[in-house]
Amino acid sequence: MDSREELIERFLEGDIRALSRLISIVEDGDDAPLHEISERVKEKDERAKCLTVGITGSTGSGKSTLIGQLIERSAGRVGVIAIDPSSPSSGGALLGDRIRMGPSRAYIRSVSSRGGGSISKRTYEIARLLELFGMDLILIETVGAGQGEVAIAELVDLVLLVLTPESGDEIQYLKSGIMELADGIALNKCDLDGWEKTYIYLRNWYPDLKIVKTKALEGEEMDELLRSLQELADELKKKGELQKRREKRVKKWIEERMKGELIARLLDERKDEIEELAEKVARGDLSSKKAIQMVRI
Amino acid sequence: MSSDGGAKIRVLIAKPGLDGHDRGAKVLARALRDAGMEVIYSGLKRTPEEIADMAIQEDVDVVGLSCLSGAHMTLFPRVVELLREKGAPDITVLGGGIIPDDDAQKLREKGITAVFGPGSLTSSIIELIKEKVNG
Ligand code: B12
Ligand SMILES: Nc1nc2c(ncn2[C@@H]2O[C@H](COP(=O)(O)OP(=O)(O)O)[C@@H](O)[C@H]2O)c(=O)[nH]1
Ligand SMILES: [Mg+2]
Repeated sequence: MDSREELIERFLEGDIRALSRLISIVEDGDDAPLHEISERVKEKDERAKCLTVGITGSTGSGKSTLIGQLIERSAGRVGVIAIDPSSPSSGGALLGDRIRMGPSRAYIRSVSSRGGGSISKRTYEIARLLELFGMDLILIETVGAGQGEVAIAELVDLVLLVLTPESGDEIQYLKSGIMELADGIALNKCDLDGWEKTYIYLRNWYPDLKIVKTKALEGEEMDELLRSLQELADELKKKGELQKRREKRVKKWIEERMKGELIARLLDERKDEIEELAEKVARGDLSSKKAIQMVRI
Repeated sequence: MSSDGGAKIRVLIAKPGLDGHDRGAKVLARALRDAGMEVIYSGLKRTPEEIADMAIQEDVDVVGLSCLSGAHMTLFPRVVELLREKGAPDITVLGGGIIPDDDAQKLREKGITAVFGPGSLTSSIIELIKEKVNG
């Protein structure tokens, strides 16, 4: 196995295997390569142009198929993070999104949610690596559990929600809050009957949302979808909103890291004190209420 | 293994060539998942080139090739060759399907670590993978 240093060198030279190996390392919980690389990447301004789009919607709505089509049509370098659920009993996962994306020139990485709900806990870090590698477009497919898919919105520039005609999804989403976070909707499978009804419904409820009618399987309206995403991104940029979103996610990331560190440091500093109190409480010499009062910061 | 995952064994189960028999590949993929592995399934009709690229993008420890059509002698060694060319000679390649014993022997000589035929127990495949990856 290659050393970290070698992997990072090769990553900077554009080696795919090195990117893949480093994603695994970062996915397993180590931030160090990410820090090292972000120090060393020269063309940061260039790379900050990368657009990150989260693609969410129920299982079977056509997210993977749609991504396959978008890859084919977009210029530049495309990186995909395709998240599928992990099995709660074994911790393993069957990752099948690639099948529908077809053979492609994109870099596609299948990721297990590893118990993290609709996304993996390491999604942000993996996306950052792809960005630093020089991708122009990053597409992140969520598990698509249905409601409560809000976590993705905090990690991306744009959220695309994929709905299908007469699935009842639109009512579910109406209640869930993801509608408020979606920047655009792809009403997919418009080759099926009943799409008009759903389309009109969505139009009425969300007059301001960009809605594109797509037929991902046949590859129809995909150019239109790609154009809409680009337009949405341009608009957000003009309003300064894109920058705001990016700031927000870096802020959140830093806070998460601080939390982790603060907790670890505090626990370490007060290790003896905690042990002593635990001993007393266990022996019955001290009430747990008192113990908690005594450790209060 | 830590509670938030730790290093997982990653396996690509791939169907090279025109063969449409996917039952065995799917049975195996599920068994590996249930053994705690992260399994990527390629889908049908992939070229050796596509399979090698997938293996590298997905950073798998093992590529499992399944072929019941008889084309294994050209397809399997080609994947091994491509992995070497692309700088990933350390990825273990396994084969399975309808493969005569003579062929199995030749495949092993060409870098396919092991070959499993009909009736193979998934438990012995799992055991071999764990042994190969974890040493
Ligand atoms: C079911 C079946 C079909 C089904 C397939 C359904 C499907 N979606 O998979 C259907 C009816 C569609 C079918 C069609 C055909 N079939 Co058919 N089929 C079979 C049959 C009866 C069983 C295969 C099976 O599913 N077994 C169950 C699974 C679980 O076992 P398995 O695949 O062998 O997998 C196990 C091991 O081999 C191993 N394994 C498999 N892959 C891998 C991979 C790795 C990495 C590892 C470690 C292990 C491993 O582990 C698994 C678990 O033990 C076999 C005969 C047989 N006894 O094998 C013929 C057989 C494979 N078929 C055959 C033929 C000729 C065909 C057709 C060409 C017939 C025709 N003229 O139309 C078509 C071709 C279809 C196509 N597009 O490719 C021949 C192949 C002959 C050859 N290779 O020389 C066979 C051997 C029958 C025969 N004796 O002639 N078939
Ligand atoms: N009729 C129709 N089926 C589609 C369309 N797009 C995708 N599908 C099918 O819907 C199923 C689920 O697609 P997939 O992309 O895997 O959905 P995902 O679970 O959201 O990623 C597959 O069988 C696709 O072939 C479409 O536009 N029309
Ligand atoms: Mg999918």
